[in-house]
Amino acid sequence: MSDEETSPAGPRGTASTDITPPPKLPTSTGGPAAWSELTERAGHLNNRAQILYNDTDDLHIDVIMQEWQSKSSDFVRQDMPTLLRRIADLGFSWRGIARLIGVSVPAVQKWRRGHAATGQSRFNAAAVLAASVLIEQHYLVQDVASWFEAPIAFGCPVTAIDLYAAKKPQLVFRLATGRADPEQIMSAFDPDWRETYRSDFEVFESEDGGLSIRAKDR
Amino acid sequence: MVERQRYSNAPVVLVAAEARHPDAPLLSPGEQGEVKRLLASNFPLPQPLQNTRLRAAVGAPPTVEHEIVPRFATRDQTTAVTFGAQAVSVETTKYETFEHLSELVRISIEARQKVAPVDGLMRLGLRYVNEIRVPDICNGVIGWREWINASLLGAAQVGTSLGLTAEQWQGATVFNRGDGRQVAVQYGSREGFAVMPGGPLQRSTPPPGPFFLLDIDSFWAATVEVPEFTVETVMNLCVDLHEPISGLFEGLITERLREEVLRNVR
Amino acid sequence: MTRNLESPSGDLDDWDVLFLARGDDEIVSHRPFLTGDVFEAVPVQAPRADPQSKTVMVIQHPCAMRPDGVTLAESILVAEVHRFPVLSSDKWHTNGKLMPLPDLLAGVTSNRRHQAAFFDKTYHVHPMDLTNRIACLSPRGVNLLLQRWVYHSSRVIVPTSDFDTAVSPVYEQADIIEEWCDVALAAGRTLDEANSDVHAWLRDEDGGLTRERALQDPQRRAPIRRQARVAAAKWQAPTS
Repeated sequence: MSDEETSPAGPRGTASTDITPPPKLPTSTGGPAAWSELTERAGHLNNRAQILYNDTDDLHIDVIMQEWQSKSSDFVRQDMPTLLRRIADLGFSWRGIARLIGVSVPAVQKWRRGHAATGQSRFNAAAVLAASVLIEQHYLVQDVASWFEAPIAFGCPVTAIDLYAAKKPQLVFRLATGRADPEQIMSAFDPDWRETYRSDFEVFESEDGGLSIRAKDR
Repeated sequence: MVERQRYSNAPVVLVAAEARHPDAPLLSPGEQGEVKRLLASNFPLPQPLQNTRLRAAVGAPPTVEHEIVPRFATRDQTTAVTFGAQAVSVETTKYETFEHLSELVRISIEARQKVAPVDGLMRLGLRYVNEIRVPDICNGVIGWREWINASLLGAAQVGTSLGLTAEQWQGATVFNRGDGRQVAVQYGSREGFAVMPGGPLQRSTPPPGPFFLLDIDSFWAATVEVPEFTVETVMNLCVDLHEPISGLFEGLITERLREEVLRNVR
Repeated sequence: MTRNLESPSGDLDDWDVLFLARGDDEIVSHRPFLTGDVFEAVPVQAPRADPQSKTVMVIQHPCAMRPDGVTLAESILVAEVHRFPVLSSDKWHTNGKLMPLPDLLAGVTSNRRHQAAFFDKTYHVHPMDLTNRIACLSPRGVNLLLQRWVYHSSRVIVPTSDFDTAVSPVYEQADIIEEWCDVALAAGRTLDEANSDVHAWLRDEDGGLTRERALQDPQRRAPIRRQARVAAAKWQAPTS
């Protein structure tokens, strides 16, 4: 039987094709369990309907999320100071790194000095490094730290760091594909973003070379 | 009945309510327009789903079928109602209260029955998917016993006493409440996500690390008679199906999880 | 959309976002002084009053703190900080005469931990009197402070995102200086030497612009940080 049909809540369980089935448990070597797996596969092809991804972007994001998971699990074997150093070497500020990991800057500084971090914090750091490396490698982003710090939409200060810190890494990966409409990404992040970030003021370089603020021309 | 708790850092990532009915044609464009009008204040965003089905039968070439399933979402895309050929589903990744969810179910069922009524209620399910993530799992997966009821650890505890380290496990328990009602609880240590973030619903997505899945599906299925698909029937059943869920969840977690994780905003 | 004074974190009463560092454990002594820094035991004197010792917050604009870009001005504008109850996020559009500082005194368990800076109690102090720093604000905190201070002074509400664009180069520079000094001090340099080195490096031109000016462009910041880390590392003492 397929994963769907082995749901204890009956065919498919309640709703949601978005819920991932449990991982297949490894079968024993040879013997009846292996045979039943072959039978299952044959049966699966026999009069079964299979929903495929029609939206290739959704499929792509699912694939990248799984790669992200896998790479994070690899990187988490490194110690925290190493993880932090590798992220910093990409050009992120310590404030940016703290924001991405979801902690305070002093916490990051303590870890750099060798203080112990929880397993979750170390995983979070590994996940930041993994996301950065994936974006560099898959989407050929040359300066990933600058990419993370760039405003997503014109006239709006929201960056990929803000998306990631708001626990929307899927939007970060979509943005990285280069095929996503930045305004759609912004709407997924904040449906009211145009109003939220509308301003009657503008920043300009004044005669002393510093940045100042003035009202916009109407 | 166990008092319902509200947590600032609740682990629930998806709640779904699904009312299944006999096969019915998908809503026509005109019907979709009417449903959209009825749901505009709660689900203003039309977001049809494209499904592609591959049918393969022995002795015949595979066929590919495309269908566009009407779906309407909130502006922040965390909640949506889908009107499929076999079910009306309301799903949310931003669960507030049962009362709020059931109100969305009510208006969705009302809209369906007003515009293109279906013939009966075959199954009603209420599903809560929890991804329990904690600061640290010490001593490998057996460390989950600090956070969840030991009954969910299965053979892992016995293995530990024999020097065997469990790498993964999963379990399921199905409770029979009679009159066609059951509660299926699936659980186990996992990695990544139970609800993939790339889907049409936006969800809050932490890094893809270890978590403990607690998937509670409370459902009713028609046995002898298929009742009418009415708002009253669906809503009464919803309340009944919701009743054991809190108690099960609270009974399957530890006080440490409540204090250090669920009541902790950060 | 009606523009109001903003809250730190939307609807959430999340006060940690206001602060970069609080208390002795977190404050880095060689971080440059910046708008929003809170100091204890500062000698102040109101007009026609006796001198007193107060807790104060720097409210001078970052660009006005250092007329030559390096040396602190001889007179720094500060606002008195004292106890004030927590203002929930839905009330931050009120009380425009102050900057709430909930959880400022993180080590205190009583309600005294919650304070505010009062814009109607300001003083001018000499930077040499700012000796005991107890808190630094995050960029979010600084932007909210500036929004409220400007509102108190002029009854104009400027979005914090505009302050962020204008002030973030200075904040970035403070980060680079702090990190450079971390490395230099660990390598045995004095603070004066480290500061002199980093300011000289920031004033060097790279591609027609000083690095300091280049920080105004968000896209130049990551490369400059990388370069700064490499440049600062040359001062690390040899390991053998």
